[in-house]
Amino acid sequence: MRSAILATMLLIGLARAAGPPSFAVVVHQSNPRVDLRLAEVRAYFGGSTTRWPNGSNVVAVERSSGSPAFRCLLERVLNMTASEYKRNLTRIEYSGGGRVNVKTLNTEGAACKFVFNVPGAIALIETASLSLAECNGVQIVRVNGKLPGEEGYPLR
Amino acid sequence: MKLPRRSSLIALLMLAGAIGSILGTREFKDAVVECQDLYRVDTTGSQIETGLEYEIQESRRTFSYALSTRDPNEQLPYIDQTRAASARVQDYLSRLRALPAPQITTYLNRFQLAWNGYEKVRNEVIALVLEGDLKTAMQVEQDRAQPALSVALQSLLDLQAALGDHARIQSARVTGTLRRSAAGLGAFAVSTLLIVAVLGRVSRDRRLALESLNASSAALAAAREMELRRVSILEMVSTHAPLPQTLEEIAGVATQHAKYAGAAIWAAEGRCLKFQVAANLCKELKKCISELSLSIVDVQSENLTELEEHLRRLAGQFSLVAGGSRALHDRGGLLIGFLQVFVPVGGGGLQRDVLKQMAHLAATAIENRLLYERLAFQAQHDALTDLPNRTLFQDRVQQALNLSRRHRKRAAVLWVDLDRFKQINDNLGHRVGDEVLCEVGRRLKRCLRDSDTVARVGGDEFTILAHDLDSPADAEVVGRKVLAELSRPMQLGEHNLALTASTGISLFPDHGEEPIALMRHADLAMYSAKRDGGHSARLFRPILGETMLRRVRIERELKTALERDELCLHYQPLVDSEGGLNGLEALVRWNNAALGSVSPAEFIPIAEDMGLIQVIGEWVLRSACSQGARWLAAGLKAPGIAVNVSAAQFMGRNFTAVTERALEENDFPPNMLVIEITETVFMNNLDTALEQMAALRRRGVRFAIDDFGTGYSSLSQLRNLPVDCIKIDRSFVKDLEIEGGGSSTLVRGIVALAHSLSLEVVAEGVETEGQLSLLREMGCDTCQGFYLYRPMPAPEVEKLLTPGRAEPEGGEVPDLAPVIA
Repeated sequence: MRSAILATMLLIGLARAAGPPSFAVVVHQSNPRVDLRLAEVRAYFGGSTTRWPNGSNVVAVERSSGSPAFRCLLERVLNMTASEYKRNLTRIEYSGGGRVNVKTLNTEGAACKFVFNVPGAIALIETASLSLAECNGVQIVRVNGKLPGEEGYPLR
Repeated sequence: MKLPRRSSLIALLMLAGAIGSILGTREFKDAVVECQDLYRVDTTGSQIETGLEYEIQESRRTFSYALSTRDPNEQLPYIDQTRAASARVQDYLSRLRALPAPQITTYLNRFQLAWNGYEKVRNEVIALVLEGDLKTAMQVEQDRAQPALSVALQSLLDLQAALGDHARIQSARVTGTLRRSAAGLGAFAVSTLLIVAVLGRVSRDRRLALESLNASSAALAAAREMELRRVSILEMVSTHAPLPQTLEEIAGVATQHAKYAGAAIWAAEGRCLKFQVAANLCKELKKCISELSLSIVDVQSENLTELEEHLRRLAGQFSLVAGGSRALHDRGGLLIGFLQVFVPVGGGGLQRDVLKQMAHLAATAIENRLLYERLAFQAQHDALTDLPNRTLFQDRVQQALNLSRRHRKRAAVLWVDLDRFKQINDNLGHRVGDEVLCEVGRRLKRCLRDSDTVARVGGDEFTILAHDLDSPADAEVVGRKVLAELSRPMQLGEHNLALTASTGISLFPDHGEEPIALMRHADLAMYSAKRDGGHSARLFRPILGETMLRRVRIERELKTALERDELCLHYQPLVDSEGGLNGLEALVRWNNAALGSVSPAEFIPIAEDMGLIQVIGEWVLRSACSQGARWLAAGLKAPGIAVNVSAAQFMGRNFTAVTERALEENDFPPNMLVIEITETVFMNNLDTALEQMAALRRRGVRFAIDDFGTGYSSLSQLRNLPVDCIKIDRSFVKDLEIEGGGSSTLVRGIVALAHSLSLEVVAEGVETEGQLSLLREMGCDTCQGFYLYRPMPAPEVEKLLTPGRAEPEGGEVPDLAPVIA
């Protein structure tokens, strides 16, 4: 695990030098889902899937509106505008899909800390923030089989 | 011979003395080493015990702060502190393991196990708190975390006792060793001055060591007693023992440390400090202290001078002096209590560190109690208005019903719902909305008796309990009073608002004998008032129940109708004057397992009220495009599909985008989509409507005005509207065959007007052959109605679109021409 994180950090370093910021999907240390399709990431954040396979509740962590991570969530993951996103959550709730548990955190560090504390949490954060001390205790998820920084990673 | 023998004897004696001296010195050195070990274990152990307790308490306190907010951004720093305190607990445990005290290992392991168990449960609670599931969090905290903590605290007590036992055994060993060394050295004392001198020194050292050991043993015993008391107090705090009991225990600490000393403690209650307990003070002094004015200290001003001066004077009257005092603050620095110690004149004050510890414990106990009370309050009250919530309200209703039964009186439950409150939230923002709700709460309380209860049970829904009523008229008076109070203009900052409310009233015992039934019936009566335009109070009637129950059931089922795939589309063909299929109108149908087939006329207005029409409308649009595209892909010559769009949906900000996406996702040609809108669309915001239409027309989408002639039709506007078709309302068609009814003239006029503007005309609701003939004679381009075709599911439409298709209902439309797209 440690070597995977180190490799990711190295790749991220190279990727940062090469191009625009990329974003990592992180989950709790105990979460076995460490390789997700982009469509699954969309389902977790968009509220169409509200439980993990082990039955625990999904808690989607979003960053405050206007942050790069929130923009990435809307544009690259959900493909929605902010108002569509809010309305989508409301629609799910009103059409009996249950309440979508979304938490808004003010900083990348706080988002990592939240994920560290909550087994069902999933967050999208800037890969540059993975070097923060707060992000030590979270797992980075492969998206479409790729880690941030690898060729073909979809969230860059 | 004698001399050599004596010399030998002396030499022997000296040799024995030397051996005794060597052995005694070695024993003494061992004793000193053991003494040092004992001291190290004792002092380090004591520090660690104190530190452990402090960190356990710190972790509990910071964790309870995390429970006091719902914002994870505020919770996380407290949770960090909780985890840091837990890490320090583990650090202390490692340090205890490093001590040369193997006897405590078992107890240490036991405490470690218990603490780890508690931490595991607490981490679960942390996760639940951050997830926002406070209810489950409190449940787990109460059912599992508290018992686990109690086990850990008990293990800590055992560990402390083991440390004490270890110190006692070690102390006995040192004493034994010192005694042996003294014996060895005493034997040699007579043989040589040098050895005597050495022995004398050893003896003096031994005495000093024993004295010091005795003194430290006494101090240790006192410190241990204090520690046990502290643990007991902390346990009382963590198990939410009654505050006076806990404070009495704390005040009792003073008497333990100074002879004839007493103490009194005050705690914050509202804005004032209130006397709580006094320990070891005579009855008269206690009475004088308790009679000091409650409002003597304003906790916000933090001015304690007056209180201290009063206490000094009082103490003097009883031959006591104030022997130390402390203001008690919570973690945020707010004054929450006061501690005063009294000692006899000339008796000396309390040690500074003891006073500090007492103050710390008292502050923790009071703060914990305040926090507990706040949480208890929050569990039963609405956070925004501080009014009782639904749970407390039901409880109060139950109590009132019991009383009313006993005194044969009536009680009323009123359900108040603000009219159009959503508009305030949408237009002026949630901050203003919240202020409105607070003001409504204040007004409701103002206009009712003190014995009545006002509660907030939902967004803009309030309930009132009025009891001790003689007749239903009394309840209606209350209802009118509430409406009058709420309709007074409301000035909130720059906004001057005029509110109205709808109120439903149910009576005990007339309309129910249980709180739930009374509340449901009041709610139904309120619904009825609201449906009839709002701003009225309505008494529940059983007939209301049936109508409203149906509506409530529809509302409940409608929320999940899409999810359960209960909606479907039927298509009604439009036939042109040549008998050809000129289009299909998509009509939504709802089949529910519980309600059966529900008419669109019944559920669409409810969906509009519930704000679900956007979602349903979007689904209809997407499904129609998807079905049309499937027909085209199957090689069928499908005609254009008309979709009804409500004014609310059409004027929605993203209607254009939704329509474009529906077309693109299904690859459905835009020119085959006809959007049917009513004239009301143009009444509210003509410019926006024209903008939306222009954007979609540029893509090729066509527009028809539905139900033409029933709204406020503006003929002058009609020529400016970018529509392709008008649909004459069925009410005109229905009366066509009535001679002198006027409908015939009107329809003829509409057809001529539309043709002069190059618009196509569709007549809806054609049910007879006569109507069809007349419409054809008048030049109507297209007809639609049960006489021609009923709405049909998609598979039947497919049969119609394939050669050898189904005949129209009336069987009177010959030679249906090939389908026209």
